[in-house]
Amino acid sequence: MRYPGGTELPAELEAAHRRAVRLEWISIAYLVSAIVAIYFTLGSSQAMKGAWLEDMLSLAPPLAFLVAARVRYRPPSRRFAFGYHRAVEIAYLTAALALLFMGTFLIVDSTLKLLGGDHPSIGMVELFDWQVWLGWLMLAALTWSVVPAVVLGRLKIRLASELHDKVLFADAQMNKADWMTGAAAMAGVVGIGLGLWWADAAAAIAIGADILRDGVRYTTAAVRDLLDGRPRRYDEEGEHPLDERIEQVVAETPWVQRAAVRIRDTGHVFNVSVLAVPADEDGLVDRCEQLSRRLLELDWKVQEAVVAPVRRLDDAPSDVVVDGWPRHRPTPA
Amino acid sequence: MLHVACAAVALALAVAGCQFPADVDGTLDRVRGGTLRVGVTHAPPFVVVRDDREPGGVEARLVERFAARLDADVEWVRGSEAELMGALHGRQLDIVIAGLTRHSPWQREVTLTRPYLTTQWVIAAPDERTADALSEDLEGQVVAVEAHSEIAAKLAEDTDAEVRPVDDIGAASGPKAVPDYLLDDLGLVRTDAELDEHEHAMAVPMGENAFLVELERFLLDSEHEAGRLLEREARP
Repeated sequence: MRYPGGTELPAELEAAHRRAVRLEWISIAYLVSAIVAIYFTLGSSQAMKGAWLEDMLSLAPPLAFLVAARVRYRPPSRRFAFGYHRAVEIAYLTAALALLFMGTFLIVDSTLKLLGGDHPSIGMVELFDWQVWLGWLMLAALTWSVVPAVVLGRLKIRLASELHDKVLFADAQMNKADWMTGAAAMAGVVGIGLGLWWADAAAAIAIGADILRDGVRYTTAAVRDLLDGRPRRYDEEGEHPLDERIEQVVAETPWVQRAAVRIRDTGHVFNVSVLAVPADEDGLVDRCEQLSRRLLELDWKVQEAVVAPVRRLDDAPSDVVVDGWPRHRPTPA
Repeated sequence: MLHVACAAVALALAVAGCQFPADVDGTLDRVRGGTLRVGVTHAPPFVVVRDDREPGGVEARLVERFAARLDADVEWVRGSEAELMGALHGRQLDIVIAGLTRHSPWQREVTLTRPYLTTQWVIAAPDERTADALSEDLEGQVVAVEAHSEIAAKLAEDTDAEVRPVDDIGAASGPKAVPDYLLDDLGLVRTDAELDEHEHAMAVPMGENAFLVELERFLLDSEHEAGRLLEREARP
């Protein structure tokens, strides 16, 4: 049996992953430029301080993705005998927490503004002898900051579904959060222009709630993964389809009478352990290795499959146990 | 979605009666052809409050002109800065002038306009040679400064010069710390030593954006005028 190594993606996904890495570098470059620009333009304004903090938080998911992308392929060693796959899970938790903080910040900050009855003021500026309301410039700047976030987010969503990558998906949600806060800020500026002082804060609260919901959802998901929960889809829409196929393969193995099948998501790859009660002990080592190989061949995501023969399965939770041969099961389509 | 947003903005603009940006409390509409309520605190040469006469100084002159532009009468209200800011925050006043700068600690309570004038505090010398020497090195040099002033603290903290507090800065001899608009009148030469920069501004209530924009337009148009007024008002 092959020792479970550092993963390599299938060739076609390798290219997609390289694209994702490039996309994340572009994201970071864009965010850093936005952070620097905001820092130097509107340092004294409270509203802009919020936008600045948001941009700083948006840096977390791409940074986490890139760090994980470097670490995840390292081959296992004595110090990390299971490899470094969990780096992806840590990145996922980081990205999810960034969303969580951003949503919380937006809601708290805007609620305080609303309760405090802050009436935001936007005055005039002079640009090359041309007098212009600063609000128009803010709208232009916000449009400029919203468009790249929309484009980056869309590209990332597509790659995330192709790669089944949760970190990328959470980052795409962060981009969505970015452009939505940008849009809310635009609505706020227009509202201020119309003399509706509460428009800014109200729009921010609505969007903060949406971001917070995503943040809670992905943080929960990351914690569940770290607790070795049953793998779910990258977008958290239900269980991963592979779960059932793995169980089916075990159930259809002729020599397996009963088996406890445990699957966990260690980031971008799955780790399967099967405690199997064999019907008889003929050629057990070969049979175990063969089952392990079949599981590994199911999908590139199955990177480690350990099959251990046991005499009895005492106290195994009933929904973990798969009943195998000789019970008749329909053949897979 | 964008079309809907544009349509909504256009509709809202039409409803708002084309004033954009608009006031939350309609200050501009009330003041135009009515009364401009102005809080004043003595801060020469920017605001000079005298018992027997109308307030004077650079900012009072500017406000009078602004009121004329709006066809409004000015009602002067005297008080301490804290009193006036409280009243302005509560929308009992329309403008407060008190020689305020953009670094005002009132930022969270009221809105400060963009600076209508920037002045610098510099170390100046009686002649070119002394000025050059002082530009090179300030250490141990005796510099006169108005006693008990903010700028005296700045001079002591930020430079190696030896501080000489005086009561009448105009009459003091030798190098001294003065605002740049006094240089010509006192016959002084400025050195490279800049102590502070003041961005002078007025205060208006928060959220009155139509009024703010109108005032700032006026202030932008009056930048040269403000400089001329300052030179006249500051003459010792």
